[in-house]
Amino acid sequence: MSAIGPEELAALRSNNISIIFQDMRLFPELTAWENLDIKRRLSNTVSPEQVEEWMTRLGIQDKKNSLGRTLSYGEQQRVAIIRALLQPFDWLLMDEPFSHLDHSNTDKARKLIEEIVAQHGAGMILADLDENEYFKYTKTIVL
Amino acid sequence: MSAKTQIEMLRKLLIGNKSRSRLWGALFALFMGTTMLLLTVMIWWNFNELLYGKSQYDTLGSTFLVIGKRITQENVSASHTFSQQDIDSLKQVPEVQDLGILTSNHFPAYARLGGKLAFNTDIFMEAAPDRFLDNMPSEWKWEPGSNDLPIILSSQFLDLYNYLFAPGQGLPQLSESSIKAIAVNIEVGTGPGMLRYTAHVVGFSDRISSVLAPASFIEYNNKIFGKPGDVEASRLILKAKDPSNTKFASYIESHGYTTNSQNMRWSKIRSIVEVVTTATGFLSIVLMGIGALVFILFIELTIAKAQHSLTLLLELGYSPKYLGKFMMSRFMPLVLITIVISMCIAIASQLVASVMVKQLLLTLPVFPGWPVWLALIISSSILFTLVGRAIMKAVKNDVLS
Repeated sequence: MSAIGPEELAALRSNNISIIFQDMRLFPELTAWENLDIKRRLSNTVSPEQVEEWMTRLGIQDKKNSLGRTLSYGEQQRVAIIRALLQPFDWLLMDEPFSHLDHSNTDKARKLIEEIVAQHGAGMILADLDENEYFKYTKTIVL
Repeated sequence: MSAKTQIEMLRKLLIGNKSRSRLWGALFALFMGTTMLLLTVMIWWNFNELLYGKSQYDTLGSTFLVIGKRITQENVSASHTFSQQDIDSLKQVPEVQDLGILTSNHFPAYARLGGKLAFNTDIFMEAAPDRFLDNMPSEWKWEPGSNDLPIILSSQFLDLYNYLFAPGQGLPQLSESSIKAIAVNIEVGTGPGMLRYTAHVVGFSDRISSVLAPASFIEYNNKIFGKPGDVEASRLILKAKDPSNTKFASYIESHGYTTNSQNMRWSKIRSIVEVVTTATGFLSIVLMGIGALVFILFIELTIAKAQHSLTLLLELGYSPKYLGKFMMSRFMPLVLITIVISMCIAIASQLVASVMVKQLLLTLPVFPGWPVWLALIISSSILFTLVGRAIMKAVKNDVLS
């Protein structure tokens, strides 16, 4: 990464690699909607209506106008997941993406991620400490 | 949701609303520095215009000195005229801005007046280049064949007559206008070739203590009545930048020239004014530097306070260039408005100064001169570069961190 310049790195981050951070990293002074919109406007590949639909699917539609700092960890994590899907990507990097979600919300989020990753034909890299296998992995490494 | 919304979100994240008082403080420091710099350059330029301006020959920065050769017991029989070599040497002196020859009459001249003020006397006359006259009456011309002769009289002569001669002789005191109304008969030359003129005093001079006639008149009669070769300059008039300059004073002294030493003293005040203006100039550059520094520190502080948001925006894929441009679009207009207000103040001050000096019979341009505009261009270029660099550096530092 150090070999590429800051502008190339920015292009890589906005077009090729998307990340779900373990610590969510929302802007506390922006609302849930603004946190998503500020990312969506970078590439403008997802419509606002689509974002609203995803929020509804993950059960955070009613938190649209709540400030980031007032959201629970679980709500913050769902906003962070949707945010990572608002750009074109080849790889989705996930660091403990469901650590604050219950089984029901984890399942909803997993389905959404799988759907969008398939749409993009992208790969996923997941870092997780528990033994749950959220996604269907091919257990073969092709060299 | 429009692009305005995105800008509004970035503004909320990167600039915030909490630093309004600091922003005003920083802008005020920048405004004070810029205004002081422009005003100082303006004052310096105005002084220069008044002291050495080309628009007016008779400027405050120059002193006119009439010099002659000192006559002593030892050299009483020697020539006391200025040779071409003397004149050339004087022209090389740095303090001498201009030099003119005062040509005296080399012919006998006789003045007659009838009536209550009747007198008959031999007189002298002198001619100076027109550019050295402190006032130029419209009647100041003479051509061969003309009978009317305009004369400019030293104001000192009128004072001597009014306060010393007239009371003692029981004669009436005369105003300038009454002297101008008197016609004096002048006879030039002797014998059958004698020429007669009717002279009028058309003006008074504070600069040259003499009876001045137009140069064409003196030259014409010197040619007719004078001897060839005896029309060397007996006195010179100098326009000097700073006669109090010690090198100039010692030059005058070492060459045995005489002049009014009072003139050589008062001009020292101009040197002091120059020193004060230069010192103020340096001070205002320092002030401008401090103003710019305060503003740049404010920007750096704002960016440092928004570091968390900035880092996250970069992690989300916002490019450093885009964020740098966004920051510039917020700060540069403020810098521009500050500079424009400072320039408006400078323009207004120049207008006021030009009106005020008019009451002192001096002239200054209504608009600030080119050095003020140059200072504006240079200072704003430096300021914009420094602010731009400070923003980009702060954003890039964040990328590297």
